[in-house]
Amino acid sequence: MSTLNVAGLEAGYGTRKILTGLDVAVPPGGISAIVGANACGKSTLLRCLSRLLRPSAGRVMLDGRSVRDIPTRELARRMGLLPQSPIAPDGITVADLVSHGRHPHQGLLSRWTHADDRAIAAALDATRTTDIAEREVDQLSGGQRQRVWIAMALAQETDILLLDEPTTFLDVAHQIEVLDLLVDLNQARGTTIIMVLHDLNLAARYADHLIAMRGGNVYAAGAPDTVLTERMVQEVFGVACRVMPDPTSGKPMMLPVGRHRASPAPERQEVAS
Amino acid sequence: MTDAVPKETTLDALRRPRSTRLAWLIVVLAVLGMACLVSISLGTRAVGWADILAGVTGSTETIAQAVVAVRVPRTVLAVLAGAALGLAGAVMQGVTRNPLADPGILGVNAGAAMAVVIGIAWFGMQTLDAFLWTAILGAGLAACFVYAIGSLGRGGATPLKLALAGAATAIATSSFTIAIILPRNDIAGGVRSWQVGGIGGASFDAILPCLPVLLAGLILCLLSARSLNLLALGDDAAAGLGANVVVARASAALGAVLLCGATTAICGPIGFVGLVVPHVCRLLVGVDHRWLLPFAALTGAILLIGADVIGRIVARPSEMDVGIVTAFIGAPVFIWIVRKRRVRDL
Repeated sequence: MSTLNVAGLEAGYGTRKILTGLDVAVPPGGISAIVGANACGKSTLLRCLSRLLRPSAGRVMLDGRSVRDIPTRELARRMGLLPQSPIAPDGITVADLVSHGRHPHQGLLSRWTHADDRAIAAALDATRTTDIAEREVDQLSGGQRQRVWIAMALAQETDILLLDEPTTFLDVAHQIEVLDLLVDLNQARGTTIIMVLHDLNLAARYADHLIAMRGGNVYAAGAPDTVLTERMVQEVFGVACRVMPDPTSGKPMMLPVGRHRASPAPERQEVAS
Repeated sequence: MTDAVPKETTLDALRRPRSTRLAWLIVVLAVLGMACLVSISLGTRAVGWADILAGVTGSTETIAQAVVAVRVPRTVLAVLAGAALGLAGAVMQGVTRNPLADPGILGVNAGAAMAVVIGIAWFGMQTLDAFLWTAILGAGLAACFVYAIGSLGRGGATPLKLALAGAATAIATSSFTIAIILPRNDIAGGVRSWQVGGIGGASFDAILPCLPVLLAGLILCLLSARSLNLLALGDDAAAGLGANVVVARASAALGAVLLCGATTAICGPIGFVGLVVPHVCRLLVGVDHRWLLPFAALTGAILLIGADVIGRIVARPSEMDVGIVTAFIGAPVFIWIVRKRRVRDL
């Protein structure tokens, strides 16, 4: 099982620094969710982890080795990435798209092997996309398409899977479906999953480990019970909220308190009516 | 999730396209062979089969045999140039993820042409060797220039910005080229026929020095087929799958530049082949570059031979330059692509 650690990470775009000396350890074999307000550096952290972005200082260590020292193809065999908006080429079939996941396992001239076939069949099976394997990706619904992209990442057969907002643009049924699927993978294959999520409640329910970020650094990290507090939401998101146990999972759940329609206190009700 | 035994349906789905692709490959090869025969036998002067056979084997005893002997290098050049342009177009569309990319639209051919015209006008360049390297240099500079301009600003080199930068560069370099030629009556005639795109004056002596460059371009392009497949998923996804995005893009682009430069050096800038051919091939074999690239080369050869033959027939007893014919074929297809396909990010 691979361990991923970050020490003293500083990174940004051009002269704008986004991450400011960030340290974080990802629990191996668990599901970690990175949460935080917009522009706090969530995606930047994920881009550094997957080596899409070169940090200006600090290191990302995979099993004690800096990811910069690992050859590209070897890294792709150990760590998969599903970016926020991947592009499906016009007219590509599901099976063809998923088979791209085998790329890091193939040499320049090596032939397609049974291991490749098995990995693809298993990936399609796990994401329940076997039945649509012959269809064109453009013609699928948003939820199906996201399952296909996850299937591609699964065919890569990596220990670690990074996902940048895998539930964006999906309706609530498909959000749950995708997150349930990720838990299945985590349990069946022991894949370490690290994802950026917008929805705090889904993050708290589905992740074993929450990483809350503020201003380019880690504000708090740990089990959802300890991280998702009213104070954290106030300081990270600038929103007053109530935190209570989620009746279905017992994990913490937060309800934001806005300026309107917030409290059933008598004096406010009068103003409202 | 279980460690599933591969299901028959899955494997079938993966493999079925191969048989249709192979069938298309045979069709395309047959059409190419027929096109070559037509190109040798048809023209301003009609020749018989006996003369064709004699002419192909090098005999020039009768006028008809001599005509055939001239048409053979011309056909060879059409095959090479068409294949090079079709392949370069497919690679450029892959590298830039832009369905409108084409050596003509991205200004690469115009850059190569301008470099050659500058060489003729200002440096008295005359040998084909000099044309060749000047054209490659010009093509490379134009490609770098367009990519640099297209990458400025937010979001890097988006398809829209690349197409705009390329179109502007193509127009600017073409205008500059005309400005160089206009006051120079002495070179205007020769440059003009070269510039419109001619393969009529082909000879093996002219083709031979370009062969190594074309071969190098061909190999670079074909080797980049797999990385082009990954680049098609977006740069981030490609990097996540273990592609070195910068190296993959640069080496594929270099291959395309070599092909365009060498072709432009012999024939002048021929437009639209690189635009039309990849779209036709995608309809035949899909988006997998390992199939798409060889098909683009074969189909490009067919298109250019066809355009050359049409150019010989429609303007009898004179001839129409092949570049004009490809423009006639290409312009409607260009409009069709823009109208029919949803052009991503445009």
